[in-house]
Amino acid sequence: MDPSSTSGAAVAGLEPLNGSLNRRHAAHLLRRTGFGVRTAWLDRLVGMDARSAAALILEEETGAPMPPAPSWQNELPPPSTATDEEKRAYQQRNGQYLTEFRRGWYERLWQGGLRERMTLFWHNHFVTELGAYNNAPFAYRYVTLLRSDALGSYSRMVQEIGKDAAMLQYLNGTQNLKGRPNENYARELLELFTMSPSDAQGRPNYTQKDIEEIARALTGWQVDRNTLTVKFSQGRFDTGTKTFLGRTGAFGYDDVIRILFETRSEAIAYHICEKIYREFVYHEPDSWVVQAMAGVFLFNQFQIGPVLRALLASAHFYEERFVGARLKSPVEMLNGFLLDVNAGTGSDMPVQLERYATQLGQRLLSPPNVAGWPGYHQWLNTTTLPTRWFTAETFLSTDKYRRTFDMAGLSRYLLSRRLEEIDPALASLNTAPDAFRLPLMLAAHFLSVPLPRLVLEPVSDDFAQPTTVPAEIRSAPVYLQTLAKVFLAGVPWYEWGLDKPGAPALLFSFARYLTQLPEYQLT
Amino acid sequence: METKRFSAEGAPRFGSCLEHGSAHTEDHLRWSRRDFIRMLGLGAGSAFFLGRTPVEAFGSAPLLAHLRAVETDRVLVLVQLNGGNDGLNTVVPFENDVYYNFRPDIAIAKNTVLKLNTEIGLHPSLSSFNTLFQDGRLAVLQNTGYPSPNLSHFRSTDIWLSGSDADKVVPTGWAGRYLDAEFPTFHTDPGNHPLAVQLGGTASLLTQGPQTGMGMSLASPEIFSRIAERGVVYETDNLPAGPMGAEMDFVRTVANDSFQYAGAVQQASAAGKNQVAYPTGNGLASNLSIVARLIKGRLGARIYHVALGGFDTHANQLTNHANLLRSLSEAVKAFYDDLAAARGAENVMVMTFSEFGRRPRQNGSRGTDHGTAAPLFIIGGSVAGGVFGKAPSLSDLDSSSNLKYEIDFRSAYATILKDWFGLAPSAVASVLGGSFGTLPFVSAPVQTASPRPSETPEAFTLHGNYPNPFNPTTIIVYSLAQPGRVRLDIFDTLGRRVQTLVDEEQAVGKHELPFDAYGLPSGTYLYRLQTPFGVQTRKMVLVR
Repeated sequence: MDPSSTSGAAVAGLEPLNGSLNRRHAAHLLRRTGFGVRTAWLDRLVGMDARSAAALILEEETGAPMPPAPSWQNELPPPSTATDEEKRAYQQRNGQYLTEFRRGWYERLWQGGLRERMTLFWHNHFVTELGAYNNAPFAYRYVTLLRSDALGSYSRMVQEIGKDAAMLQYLNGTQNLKGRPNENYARELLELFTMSPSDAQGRPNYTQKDIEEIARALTGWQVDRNTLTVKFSQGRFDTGTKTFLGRTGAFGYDDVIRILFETRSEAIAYHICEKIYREFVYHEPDSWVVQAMAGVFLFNQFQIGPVLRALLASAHFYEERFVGARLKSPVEMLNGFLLDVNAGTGSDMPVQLERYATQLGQRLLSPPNVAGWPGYHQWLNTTTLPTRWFTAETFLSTDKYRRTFDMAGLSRYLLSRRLEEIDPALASLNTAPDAFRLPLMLAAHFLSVPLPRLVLEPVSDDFAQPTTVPAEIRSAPVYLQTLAKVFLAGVPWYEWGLDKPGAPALLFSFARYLTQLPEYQLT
Repeated sequence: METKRFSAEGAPRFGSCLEHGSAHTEDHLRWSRRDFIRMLGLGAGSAFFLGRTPVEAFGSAPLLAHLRAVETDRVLVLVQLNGGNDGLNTVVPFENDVYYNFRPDIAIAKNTVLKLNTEIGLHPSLSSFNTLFQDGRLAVLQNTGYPSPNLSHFRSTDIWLSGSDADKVVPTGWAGRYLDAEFPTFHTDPGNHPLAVQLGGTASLLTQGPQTGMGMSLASPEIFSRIAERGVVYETDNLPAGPMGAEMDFVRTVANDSFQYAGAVQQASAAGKNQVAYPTGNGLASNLSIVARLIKGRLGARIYHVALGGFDTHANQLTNHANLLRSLSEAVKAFYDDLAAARGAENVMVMTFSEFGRRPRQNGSRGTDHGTAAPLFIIGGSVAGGVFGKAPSLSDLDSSSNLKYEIDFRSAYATILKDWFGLAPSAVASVLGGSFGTLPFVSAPVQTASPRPSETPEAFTLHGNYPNPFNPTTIIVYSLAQPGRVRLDIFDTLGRRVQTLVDEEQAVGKHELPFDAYGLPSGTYLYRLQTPFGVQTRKMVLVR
């Protein structure tokens, strides 16, 4: 199968979804491109066709302004003649900048959408670990490089990342010099950042000799930690002839990148598209769809936007079996939670995001190794799952944060919608009082898994004042009654009202219940 | 760096213990934090970081004292009376005419009161409590409250749960801070059994620690009962087919493993049997019956939190309140008897509390409005029974015509922390944010724990590793004076095994084992040498 023979149009699996987006489609798109459902976006997307919706998201995200540069972006370290005290003070400032930067990044992820999501994706692809370079301006430049092209040119990122100060230090490019080549970066460039060791048919993409020769061609680039610059030193460059990937010449850095894309474009496209597929659809890639994506990627000269646009508009993406089939990463879980409870800014939430994401295993700038966070099932274990529960519970039980969670506003919005928008099967319950409609609406807002597929532990107690419960509720499926019973928590339904003093407590308590459902870990 | 490679397809790679799938999970499950410490064989003076929390985080008290305190079997059961229990009708000042003047319709008649002394007596529904009092197993803390009382249910509940001053909003609970002090690594290593269990009720501030929630509180007693009964909460059969169903199955399986620690709960529940009949139609009793099973089954949780609601008796309170007090006392008495039947009552202390008492004067609806101070009950086999403090004055009321408290509620907490759980006074002050007097209601106070003497093995020596710090390789050196089976494991600070370097019979002499930390994050690692003669552990630091 030759992926380059496929063009961007009408490929099996990638064909656009027929018809217009309903609310469930739009919610799925928002959960996968951002971290949860923003109701304003939801209203915008419902009724659009899938291609227009994907295009709209990409257009807005691509054009979003970049965050302002921090004041310390060019702050130089003290000279070697500085006193120990000055050096210590600098180290301390550097640490503060990094903390500020990391927290700011968590906040951007929370407030952002697809571009931020892809910035994180590329961080987990072109991995560096802070410990290797430990410098705030370098961290800023590294992340800015990824963000600038997060939805732009993959090949430009490949071109730039090898000359990034953080990367040069992390994978020892700065120590890669004539006569003393360091293969570390060359290997990861091939194995992780571009093509992977073997192609879709299992044939090796390169040899050890290729790595050694590419390492030679990459020599000469080094980091000057005094001036915080990256420079090319002709004296450190190996000017000799190199042979790799079937080409021979006195190659240098740019030649390596050019030859990679000239000789291994299909393998590169497949490898990257497989990763993108895992991020947006499901952990086990469908090779046909990935091939089709790779075709789009190649056709568009490794521009990321068109691939995403094709995937996010595809019938494949919207297949019911993938809705709720992604295990949330810590950042997805935390940001999704904040969107679910309609959190506003103004608290120390960035500090908390940093803290809990770290506890849950996703500390920005510090992935575990060069392959990044393994993700998927590795996110969840008997330690991190209870920690996720505790985290949501802590926020929901801490007044400082509860005050910023506008669940009443969310509830008013939800109550203005109709149940059949969630599920046509619920249409008959539209006449039910708000006390019964709201829990179903909230459950559908919090959970990606379709309501009829929830497997809930029934509540054995009956409703308070059961004889007054409307007939359509009494005859509704047990799981719907369970949601309503948990929501009402023994309060007679006719005493419930959004404006009643006890309403916030019930809303937070129900949010807690929803966040403790296993289904909440899926999106 | 190039020698140990892993592939991008996610093939198992060195050092990444999560990759080891179910074997890892199983292994991790077996590691209670207590086991972790014990099996690592840490001797006194091995100060180091556990998890991400510096040991110094907990004042000046030595780490091992706290670790040792873990090994007490003492349990605290908090019974929260939601809504504000009417203290004056619970512990009745039957000789006080003002009381009868204030409450013409709802006072408890003197001749029905169960007299504790010449001034006060229990509500007649509390006959079970009276039995415990006569046996010296129940203490009454009179007129307990706090300065500048708040009359909001929620705010005052938060004050009681957090143990804060009335004018401070504290986001943590007193029990949470206590547990955090005792288990400083809990937020990164929750171990395999819960430290605190809440049955029913809504999310509680009580067990919220400074770093994370320290308690396992569950959305509904049904779920918890079901864990306790069966050990599995979430059904994993009959899930939808396809990717979503497969992931639901995965999450449910993890949840079931950890919810909280189903295995531990199931074992405890199966091992612990109820030996008395609990009153029926009494939710508190059924929750306490579960607590009794878990305690008898040695679950290991230090604190249980149960609640009984309905105390907000603004109208026609006599019947309601009588029923509530009967439910309370019968449930607690059954619980006590159940534990006593297993000779376990000495290790369990029950304390009741409520967000406030009620107004001394009855209101216009034969009820009472929100008040301030009220009595607490402390019950247990190690309780020094009796009445502590004086009955509240009904002639000297505050500006809202409410009682002026005598005993600060944090004195009850301080007594429990110091005399019941054995926390050092400085640590008690740190947990409670100040010093509060204690009351002698614990009959056998524990002495503040002290570190055990270190066990120095002689048949073998773990010399250390060099270089240290290292990147990425180091050599671990030990010697054996006798031959035997030797195992050397590397752990991260969460107690997760990273690698086993050797597990075999070895000869006498000096042994050197290289360790390559490729792919591991920077940080402290522990290596443990197990021999037939003992265990030794040291730390090493990987700096990239």
